[in-house]
Amino acid sequence: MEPTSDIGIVIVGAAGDRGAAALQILPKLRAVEINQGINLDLVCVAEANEEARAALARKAAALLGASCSVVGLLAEAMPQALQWLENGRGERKLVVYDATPTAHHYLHLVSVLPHTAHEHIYYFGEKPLFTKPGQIEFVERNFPERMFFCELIETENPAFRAANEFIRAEGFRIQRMSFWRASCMGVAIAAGDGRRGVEGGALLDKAPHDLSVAVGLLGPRQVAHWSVSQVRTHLLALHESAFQQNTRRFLSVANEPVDDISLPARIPEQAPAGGVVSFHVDFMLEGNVAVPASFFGSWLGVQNTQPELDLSEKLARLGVDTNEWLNTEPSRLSSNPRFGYENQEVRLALLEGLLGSRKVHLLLNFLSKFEGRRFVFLLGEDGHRETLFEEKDGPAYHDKKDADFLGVFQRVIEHCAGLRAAEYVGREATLLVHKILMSALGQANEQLRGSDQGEAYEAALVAYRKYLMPVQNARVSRRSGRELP
Amino acid sequence: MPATFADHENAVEAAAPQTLPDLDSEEYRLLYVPTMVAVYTAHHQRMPQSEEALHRHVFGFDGHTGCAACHEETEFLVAHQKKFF
Repeated sequence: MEPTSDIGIVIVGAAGDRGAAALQILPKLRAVEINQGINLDLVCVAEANEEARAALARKAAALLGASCSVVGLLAEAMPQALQWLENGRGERKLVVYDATPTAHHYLHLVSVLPHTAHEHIYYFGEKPLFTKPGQIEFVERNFPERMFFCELIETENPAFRAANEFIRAEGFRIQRMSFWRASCMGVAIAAGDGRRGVEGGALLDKAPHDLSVAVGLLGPRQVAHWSVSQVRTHLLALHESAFQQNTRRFLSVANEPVDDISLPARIPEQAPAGGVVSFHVDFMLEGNVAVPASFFGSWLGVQNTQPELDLSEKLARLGVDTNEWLNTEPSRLSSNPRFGYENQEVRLALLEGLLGSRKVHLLLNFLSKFEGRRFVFLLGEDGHRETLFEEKDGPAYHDKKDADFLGVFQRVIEHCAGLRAAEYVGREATLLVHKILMSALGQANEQLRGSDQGEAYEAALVAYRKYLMPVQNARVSRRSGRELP
Repeated sequence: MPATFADHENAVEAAAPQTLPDLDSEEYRLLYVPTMVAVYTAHHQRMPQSEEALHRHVFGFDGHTGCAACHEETEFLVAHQKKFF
């Protein structure tokens, strides 16, 4: 990558959760990069919601001390980006940060890639970038070598960094990996409180994080082959109308209602979203080293499926108590306000391996929400525990997430500036993560064709009822949303 | 998946009756064109030869029906983007 000291930024989807976070961290990012000799310039922000644009312009001016152009769509921002680059007479580079909903990522990526080689515009998008195998094939075939980035934020999580450092410094040989990532996003959506733009179901929304951690810990360049097996959709996600109108409606990966899952989706965006999904990946590393890995993702909290019970049992055998990794948020009232709902979250990785000739486990907790804290424990088979990293009191969850996001953004900027490679979020790692994801998604969709949708619906209803209840039954305060005593 | 536009034209099912977007509108230029490019490239693994050829592929021309898969997905994604307006 040719060095540069002048980098422009365009934020697309700037009023959404991640777009707003990107805008918020820019002053800090700018201050950090000045020390690296890089000048950052916010060239333009794009936001489809017209009503939000005036506030965005004011916010950008307040944060950065200068006015910034605000447009609606990436297509309107591109001419401004190209003009800014042209004014720099070939010395500048520009990063497009894409915080729009998943369904729009690929169309933005293919809008930017033709401008990467000569005009030096680089795409940096929220995960997942790809939702169909054909999208990956096209990019690989038509834009070989062109760099782009994915916001695989867990590769900046201090638990990942600490474990990665330990693995490399101590020669820890990974023999098996297990990942468990759960939230109640599906429940929040059913209650009418889904975060704007969060879509895809448990597989598309959760698995990229854990796949990026797995690929990062193994080393993106160490993975020679891989295969996906044992894909299982334990539960499907339901549309909010299933609860508000008592009708059988599943949720699509684009957060639309799906009435009939027995027929193949006419377009991929209409495929049903998984509520609880598990799959297995066999990684084959250079030197013929096999590392099996299991992945479990949930949008419906903890549901006591067999993979959850197995992993809980294993953790208990290793002396790890449930309250060390299960994060629970008090009940709250939905904004509509018809439902009370709860939230439980898990973000764990358990690595089995050899330290010299000793069999040990590394347990990584990525989550610091509610009462939880991030840690990395080295656990012996005999119950011995050594803390490799533990987060004490510190900033709130959103501040921590912003700190990790700042780290990812910094790596992307410094990669583009020619200072250091963004190994865990760059093209190679991004493609590998998404190829595995697409393989799992394809198998999950294939399996749905033979499923009994009546049974699937009933099972999902039972799962939702663990966390979601009509307001007359909910133990929450209407006024504060807090749990009642 | 057919490899060329011509192959594809022969192979696709008839697209549903359609309302054509206004080619002179901002909506077409800013929303439809990038969306059509994305849908077309993922389906057919090549860049469209021109914006006009892309339009004809997706929406049909002179009594020829367009590509049903590209048309349906384009309309879905355009509508999905509009949800955020």
